Amino acid sequence: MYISKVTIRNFRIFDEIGITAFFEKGVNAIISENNCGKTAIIDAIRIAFSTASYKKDIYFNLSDFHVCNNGIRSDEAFISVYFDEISPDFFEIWDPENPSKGEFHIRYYMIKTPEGKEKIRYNIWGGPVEGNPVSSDIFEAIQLVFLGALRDAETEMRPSRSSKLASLFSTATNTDEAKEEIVNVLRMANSEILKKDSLIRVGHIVNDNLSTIEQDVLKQSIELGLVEPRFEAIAGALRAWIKPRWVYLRKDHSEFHLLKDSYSEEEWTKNTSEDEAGVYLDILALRQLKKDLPAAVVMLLDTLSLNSFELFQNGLGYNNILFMSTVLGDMKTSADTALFNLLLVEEPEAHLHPQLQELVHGFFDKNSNRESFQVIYTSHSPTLVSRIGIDKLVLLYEQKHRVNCLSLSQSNIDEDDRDNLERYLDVTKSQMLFAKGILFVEGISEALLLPIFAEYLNRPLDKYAVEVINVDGVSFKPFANLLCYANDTHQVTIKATIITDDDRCTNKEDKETYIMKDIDYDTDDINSIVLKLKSTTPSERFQSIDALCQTAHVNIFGARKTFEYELAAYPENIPYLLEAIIQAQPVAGRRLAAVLAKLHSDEEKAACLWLYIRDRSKYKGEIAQNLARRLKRELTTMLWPRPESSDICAITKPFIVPDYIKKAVYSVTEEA
Amino acid sequence: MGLTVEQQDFLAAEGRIVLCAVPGSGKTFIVAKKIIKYLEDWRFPHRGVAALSFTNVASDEIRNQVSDTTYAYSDIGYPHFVGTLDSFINNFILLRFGYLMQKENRTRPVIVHENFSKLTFQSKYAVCHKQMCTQHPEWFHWSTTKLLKKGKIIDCDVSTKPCVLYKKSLLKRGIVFQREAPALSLLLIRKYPQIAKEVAYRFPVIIVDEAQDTSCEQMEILECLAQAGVHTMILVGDPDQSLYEWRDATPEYFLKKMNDINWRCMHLSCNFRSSQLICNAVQPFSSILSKPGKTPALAKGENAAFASKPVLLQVPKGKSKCDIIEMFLKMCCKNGIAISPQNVAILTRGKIHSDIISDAWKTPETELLAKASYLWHCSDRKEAYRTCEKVLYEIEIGNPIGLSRNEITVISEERFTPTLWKNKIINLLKALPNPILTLADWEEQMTMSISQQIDSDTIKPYDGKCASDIIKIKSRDKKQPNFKEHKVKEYFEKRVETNYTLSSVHGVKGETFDATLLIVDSTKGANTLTPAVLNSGNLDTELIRIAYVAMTRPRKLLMVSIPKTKTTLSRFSTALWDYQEL
Repeated sequence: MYISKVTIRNFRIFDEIGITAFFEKGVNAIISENNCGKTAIIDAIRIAFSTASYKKDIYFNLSDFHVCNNGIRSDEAFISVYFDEISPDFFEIWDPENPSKGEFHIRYYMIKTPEGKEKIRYNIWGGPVEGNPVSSDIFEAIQLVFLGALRDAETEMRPSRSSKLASLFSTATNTDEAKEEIVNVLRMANSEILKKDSLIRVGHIVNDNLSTIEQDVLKQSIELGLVEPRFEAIAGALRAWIKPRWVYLRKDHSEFHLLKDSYSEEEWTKNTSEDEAGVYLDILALRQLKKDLPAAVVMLLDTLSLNSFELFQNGLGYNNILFMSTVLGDMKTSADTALFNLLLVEEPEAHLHPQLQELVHGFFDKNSNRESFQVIYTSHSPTLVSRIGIDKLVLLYEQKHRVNCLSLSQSNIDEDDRDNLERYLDVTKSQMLFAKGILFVEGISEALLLPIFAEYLNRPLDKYAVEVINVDGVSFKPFANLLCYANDTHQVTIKATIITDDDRCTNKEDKETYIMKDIDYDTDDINSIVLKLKSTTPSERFQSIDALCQTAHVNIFGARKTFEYELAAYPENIPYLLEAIIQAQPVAGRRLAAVLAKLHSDEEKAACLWLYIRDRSKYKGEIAQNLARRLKRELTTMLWPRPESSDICAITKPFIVPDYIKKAVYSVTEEA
Repeated sequence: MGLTVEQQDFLAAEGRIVLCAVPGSGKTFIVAKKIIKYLEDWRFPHRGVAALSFTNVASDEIRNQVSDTTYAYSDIGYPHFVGTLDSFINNFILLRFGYLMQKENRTRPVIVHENFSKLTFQSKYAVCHKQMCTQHPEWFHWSTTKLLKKGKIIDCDVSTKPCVLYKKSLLKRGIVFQREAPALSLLLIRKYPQIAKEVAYRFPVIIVDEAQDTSCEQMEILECLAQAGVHTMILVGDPDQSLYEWRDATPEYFLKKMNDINWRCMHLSCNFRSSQLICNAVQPFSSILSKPGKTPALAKGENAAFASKPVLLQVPKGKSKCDIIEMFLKMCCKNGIAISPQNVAILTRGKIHSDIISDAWKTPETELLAKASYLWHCSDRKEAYRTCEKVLYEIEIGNPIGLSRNEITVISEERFTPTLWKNKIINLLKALPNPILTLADWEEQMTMSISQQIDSDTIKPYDGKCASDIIKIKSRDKKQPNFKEHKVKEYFEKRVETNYTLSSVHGVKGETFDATLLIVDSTKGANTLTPAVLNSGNLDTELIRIAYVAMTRPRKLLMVSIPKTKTTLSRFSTALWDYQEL
């Protein structure tokens, strides 16, 4: 059983139209840039379950009603939760028309009491039709555990009656006999410790003073002990320590040599690391290595292994993991009685470095592959996102001043797209899902230069939260489809624009326009190249992606021929490009400069430069780097005008960002 | 107390079981015991035992038996269900899934129990008006195949029947009368077998007490559930005690189940209530026990050997009911029976008060207020409060059709605030005249106090009605010219307890007394108990069953009074009955 869908209307950031989030079995993540309502979804789920059950740890508040842009607060909100593979025990929320499914709905509304007080009431119903009652009893079968974003693992693990350790301990000790046994052990310990003189004395002192004050009025006395011998008290006193793996032992310790001699040379070096004054020991390994150790050595190892440190001495990240494993342990132990277990976590990545994040993801994944275990977390972590699988991502985004939701399982991708994306969406590319706008580009040159071009256009990408995604080729289709709703491809989600080359003159069949691969920049017949470039239509590849974009909200801007051709098509840019090329290839670069100098028209120059780079594509990256560096410098100095020069390599005019790039950048940075 | 072999067998039995239990066989006791046995090691947190009966009284009886026996089950709640068969079917099938009957604007259906709010429908045909159909939409109810009128096929020559159209439109809006609820539920689970499966999963054990009173459709629903996977379904009853024909009950279906090879028929044939002499005397009136080869129930209770032969009292013309009662009470004393409502019952076939009429009330408000007067002064004050709330709603807000009690409260409190609304109801309660007044006096006083409340703005009728429009009583009746001289309480009393209990037979079903007198005072009339009916009436008819139920109430002394007759009464053989004359 799992939550397949949640719809929310008029709740916090979600407006009257609201959102529908789809979830899958197992682990799901809700992602978005900041302030798009990730926590609101989690809270809506918590409130929905809380409203329905006896145990309430979160309530619907007046401030939870959505406030419209005109400042008016709505007085009615809806939360609906849908399940799939529902257990037949959930009679009251079951849907006979879809026998494997179930749903319940809550309408919260505000009433004004005659005294003018505003109060919240709610109606809850099971199944698709309003009015069918849902009893709280059935929600006893659902175990929901929530780990908030600002969780403080140290505090949560600290001994207290409500600590997670206490809860786990109580669930694990599930019979009266087992509890009694534990209480008895403590009783014995208490009586042992009370035999000590010092404690007897403490007891006397307190009780004497007590009776002096009370003057026999209350006749109370106290008893001392470690913990009150009641199960709840013991559970509340339970605490965890960190056991270090490596323990340091000084060489001048009396038993040092005895210890060292108990092991072979190989065993010793493998499990220790010595420095001048002492040695780090892998206690556990050493202890398990040999059975017949001398008693003194055993004693030493045991004493050393008692070394431990408190949680507050531990790092935040590890404590967080410790906390999560305790909570999950508790859930697993009690899962037998629950028909559905739901773990909601806000930002599990908190305080964890990327590798640990991956481990945490694996941990969730392993735990949630049981039938009735679902995890939903919010995240800002591209690491987690790249791991989880596309279908399990719920993307929140803001568009036209309202927050909307695209569950990627509902996006317009087919099986092939999905396969490709699972491979493409690495940590870096996953960043795009946290952006407000995305520019998809073909290669390294565009990826390097676009951020600088945007600055030239006074639209710095970081300010507009735009990510440039280098798809390393031309397979834009999966990305474009991913960002579109399958049932409404024109609805804008995250603004996205594809920048690609139109690759004209590459159709071998068309002899009129095809430009042979073996033509280099110093060709005699540059004129025919220019003519061909002028006259033809874009490549089929471009046309098909262009056609796709017509049916989707994704914009596409194509370069005449290629990116480099477009750059070179502005005569002002030639000196910049030449400089970058000469830096990468001083000899060939200068030859190119010489050829260029002899050409007359701007079109010839552009064609020539393009031919040069086409044949030397492995230098593309370096050339782009050089150009980027130069442009960056120009941005900070910006000294114009500069003296005219006849040298083709002399920079005399400002760099011009090609028009199609300009449009592309504008398309993702325009403010509504 | 040791259990009989029959009782032990029943406790151990699982599967589809029909338990046929003679009167006094301790059936409620053993059913309660069976339920407790389930509760003791019940392991499903969200699946339960459904313990169903025919009336609320009977299901309360089961609840009490279970909670009295074991403290741990003082409140049988979720996941189990104790209630009437009707409420079970309504709650778990019709109300919850009835929206599936509607194509659009689906809503949870509403079940209307009485036609309080004067539903009427339009018709251009004279016959509809002449037969009063348009005034009484509650006469019409769906069967699984067509619309019926009071249980029968609609007998008129109108081709496109307005009643059918009207009922269809009600169905579209989700308004259902209780009488058709089982038929509609049955249609629903036939169309959606998964519902039967889910209900069967929800209630792996279903026990139906008084199963002889189930209607055809109810029995069919139970059969569907049994086939859909109910682990154990037990139908408990006695075909000879089926008394609710007017509610479509008939023992026919129970009898069928007794002979169905898919069901295991078990018997409880010992009588722990009556003396052997009584058991012997009533045998000829039981369709089951009078079959060839059958013997009278074996008396096994503490009064088994009580040696008082049942008395057939012949009443000559000119002797009154009082004379009969006097004679009966004397007999009680002779047998050492102390006269008290717990020990002694005097039973009649129908109403306990004669000379009252059934259509005295001309507005629903009048009937509700009269009922509230009776409830407030003589019976259930809580119910009186609720009844007043309904009247007030009707006067101040409008038609409450289709609204549940809770909804009425919520709407009213939102309109007036909870405090004000409560005060209004209490004011009305305080103004209710005492029902020992005659109908005429009650009408006068009630009209006056309503009129005062309207004048003082305590009550504001939404449609500007005045008190005399609200309170209206029939002015004359040909058959019962004196009906207005009867006390209001007589119109509502089903049972009186003075120094003995005076009740209809229906009112004491399932109860036990030391001594019982059944008064048969007519010699002719349809649907009336007469000596002729008693002597030769078909044992499968309800009249005989009513007499049988009455005669099986007493532990020690049974008396039946009949108008004196010369014909020999073969069912009252002198060997078993002591003939006496008043």
